[in-house]
Amino acid sequence: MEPLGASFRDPSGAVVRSGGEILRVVRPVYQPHYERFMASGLCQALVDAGLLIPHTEVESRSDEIFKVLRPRQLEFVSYPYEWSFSQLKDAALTTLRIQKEAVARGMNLKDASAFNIQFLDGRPVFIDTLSFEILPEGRPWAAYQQFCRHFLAPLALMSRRDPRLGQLSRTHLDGVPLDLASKLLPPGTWARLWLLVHVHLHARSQRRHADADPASAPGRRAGSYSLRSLLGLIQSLESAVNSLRWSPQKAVWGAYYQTTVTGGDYVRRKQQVVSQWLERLNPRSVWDLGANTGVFSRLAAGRGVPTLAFDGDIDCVEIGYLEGRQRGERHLLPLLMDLTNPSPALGWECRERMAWLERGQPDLVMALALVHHLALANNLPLDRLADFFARLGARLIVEFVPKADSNARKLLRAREDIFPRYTREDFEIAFRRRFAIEAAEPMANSERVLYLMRRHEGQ
Amino acid sequence: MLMNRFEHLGRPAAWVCLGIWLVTTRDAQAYIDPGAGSYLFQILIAGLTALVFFFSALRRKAVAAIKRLFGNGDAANPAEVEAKEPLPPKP
Repeated sequence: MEPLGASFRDPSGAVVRSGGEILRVVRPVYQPHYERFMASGLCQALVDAGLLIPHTEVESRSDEIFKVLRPRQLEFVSYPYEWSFSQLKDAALTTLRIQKEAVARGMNLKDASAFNIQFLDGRPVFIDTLSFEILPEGRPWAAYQQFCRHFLAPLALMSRRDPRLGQLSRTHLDGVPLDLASKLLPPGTWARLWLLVHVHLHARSQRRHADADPASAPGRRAGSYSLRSLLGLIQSLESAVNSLRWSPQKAVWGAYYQTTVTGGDYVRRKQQVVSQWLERLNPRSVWDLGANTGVFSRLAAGRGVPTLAFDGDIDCVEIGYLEGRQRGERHLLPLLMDLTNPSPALGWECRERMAWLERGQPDLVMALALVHHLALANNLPLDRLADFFARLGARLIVEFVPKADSNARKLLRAREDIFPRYTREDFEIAFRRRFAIEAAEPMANSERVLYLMRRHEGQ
Repeated sequence: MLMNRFEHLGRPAAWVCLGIWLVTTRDAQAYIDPGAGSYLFQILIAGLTALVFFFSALRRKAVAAIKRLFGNGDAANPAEVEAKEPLPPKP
């Protein structure tokens, strides 16, 4: 049993890994809060509404440990800087809905970190069962600042400035500083009531009252903050979040396979081959790298296989998520990931947030129409690519796109072709070092080839 | 003796649990810094947010009354309306 690297801040308990399972150890100091949380029906109501991860209590015979909880186990842990706009927005609204339910039952969220949300069955769920405390009467919401930094500021920046600014959450693990958000937001946001209040004026208040004593608030008695003010605050945050919108470029990515590749026959044939191979392999989990909007990921997810669809383009991830949400897909999770610069280990001792490749290993990796991007646009040698895929998983479906292909030619049109060893033969030689090629299927109306590979034993 | 109490979780587990118990503090509430400026700011805008609550409650009641008037029995059920937008508990 070992404590997880991120689990050291909250004195109520800790998250530990034991025998391949994640458990939550609850300390006696949290007992009154936990008992109220369970007895008030809040826990059950949130679990029933699909807002909170369910847990069971593991037997514990100790005076020093109040409880050991076994939450439902997650397939993969994702982080806010890997979410698209709507994923972060849904996570924010989930947090606020939970806080509303909690206050209605005399409880309160004592933190509002975006890292407390994970995507389970295609929906955002709250995973920190120990975040609930008995509502401290007459006091403002201690997590207000954290909510604004973790959710409202990045959402406002993504919506009003540029969706790529969501990456600020990667450099600012405790949320985007409000003064920074205030500086980066366009002037028009000063005319929007709740952005004015919760970002711009809030940032000014932080600067002005940084050294102030909260008990000396002008004209206010300490402890007189009303529940109506608290509920109004939550509602105003909800309005602020709901007012933020961003539309991905559906015109470009929605018709991508019809307009930029080689047409419907190619896509249909590829879907057919991938489906056959998925049937044959019956994988337990799939990572689709360079998944675009998840057209091929859905072939695996549709079979009930937990599937992660990684792409470096936020428009694609957004479209993939919105489509999945609309269809109620439970097994597909689109995530933002630049494969040439994936999420690193971050935080204290580089152990708070895990690097991408530390968070799991799929049964099957799919890399469709990806190799030419990595090899021709990023100068990655083919043998290094084979090493990378072999490190990821034992089975691989990979597509080779030759230089003669129109999409590959686009990558080379403005630069010198320094890739004399980028041929199908070179590709096969490089990948045979790590994999056995079990099948190779040429794709209709193109010179592309789809491969099914198995990693050599002992690698 | 303490270690024996954790034995059922596995021996390494006992050490970890003991470590957790020893190094953490005893206060379970409000472990994050609310920020003095953020804390005061909520107090300063308390009147505004109370108004938000007041008007949204008013709007809910008006919507419920209109639905009741036009015979939408389900939505007019006061308990259900209240459940959708919970009111604060009595202190």
